[in-house]
Amino acid sequence: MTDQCLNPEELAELAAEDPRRAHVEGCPRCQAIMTSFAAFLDPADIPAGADLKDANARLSAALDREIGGAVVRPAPTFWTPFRVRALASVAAVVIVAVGLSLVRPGSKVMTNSEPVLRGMESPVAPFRIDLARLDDGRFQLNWSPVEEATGYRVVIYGEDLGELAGFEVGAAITFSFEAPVGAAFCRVIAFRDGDELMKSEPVYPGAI
Amino acid sequence: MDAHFPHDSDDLGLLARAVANPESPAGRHAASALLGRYRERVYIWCLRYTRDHETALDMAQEVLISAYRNLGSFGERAAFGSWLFSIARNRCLSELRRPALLVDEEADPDARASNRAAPDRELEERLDEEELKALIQRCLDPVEQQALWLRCFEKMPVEEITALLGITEASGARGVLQRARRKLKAAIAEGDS
Repeated sequence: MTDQCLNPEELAELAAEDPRRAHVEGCPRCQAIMTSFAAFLDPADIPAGADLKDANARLSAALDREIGGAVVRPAPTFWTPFRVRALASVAAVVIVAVGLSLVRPGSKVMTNSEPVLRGMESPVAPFRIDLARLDDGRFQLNWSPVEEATGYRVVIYGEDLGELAGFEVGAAITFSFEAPVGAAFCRVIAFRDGDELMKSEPVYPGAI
Repeated sequence: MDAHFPHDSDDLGLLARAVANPESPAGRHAASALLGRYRERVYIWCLRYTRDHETALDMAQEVLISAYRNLGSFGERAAFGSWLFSIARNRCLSELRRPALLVDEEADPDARASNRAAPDRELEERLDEEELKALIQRCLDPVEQQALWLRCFEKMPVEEITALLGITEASGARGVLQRARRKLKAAIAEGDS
């Protein structure tokens, strides 16, 4: 190694017009490191004996242990304590509200076509959506057309149940996306002339 | 319809979030996502050296955890990938014995029983790395130079050198290395006489 030789990080980031290239191109050491770095970044051929599935699962688990609790896990379950508490709270409110509406004179029975709970955004009538992982690691949602719907919105929620991202997809019934960091679940909302018509069931990218 | 999240696909963005608030869920998410992107590459890199799944997993785990614990020292560097590559490379190099420049039993099975091994090693030890490099540059063609350097100083297995350099001759890097050694020995012998 000479004074002119670059360290691996410098070599990896060397710009095309960098004057130090003159040295690098004639130096076996620098050339070898650059070749190595290219192979590291883009491992085109996988060495014999590789078990990528096992490696990914075990390294992911090891990182989870090291980094601690709230990390992106390979297959998160929906029933985390926070979600259980949140759902229990919503369920309790629904039960009380329905009970009150039933004992009040003139109250109506809940149907899918008209809202009955004050503050609820839309009647609960989830429709089914399918979520698949594409070859490039992204996700694709597919669903059947909802009767009377004129447009759809795809919403991705975080673990705090807040909206991470939302996409107006028009009348399309398929949508692909890269799950943002922290994505917990997503759903599709059907609209009729701007009014919310129906929500899909939630689906969980992390469970695929 | 198609959607991209460029802010989430940016290593440095994830790194900034991971370093800014390492104990928060958002910071941990970012660190996990960042290292998750390179998990497989680090494993494959380690496997190139070790050729053993379990050993490669152990080494890859050490590399990733070391990187996580030192995210704060990343500083003003330009790219996370090259920093992680440095860590992985150092880890692999420290694990392996350096093959001799002039005698390599793996690349040249005939060298195993050779009595010339000790004198060759002795000769090699007389030269420092700079002299060796000058000799290599003077005597060998570019592919031979790179193959020998990858083998001797980057400690890369012969089969991996064949793949990395795209060597198509039947004997792969083994033939290139044997030819390079013959040339070096001849040049050294000529210099000594």
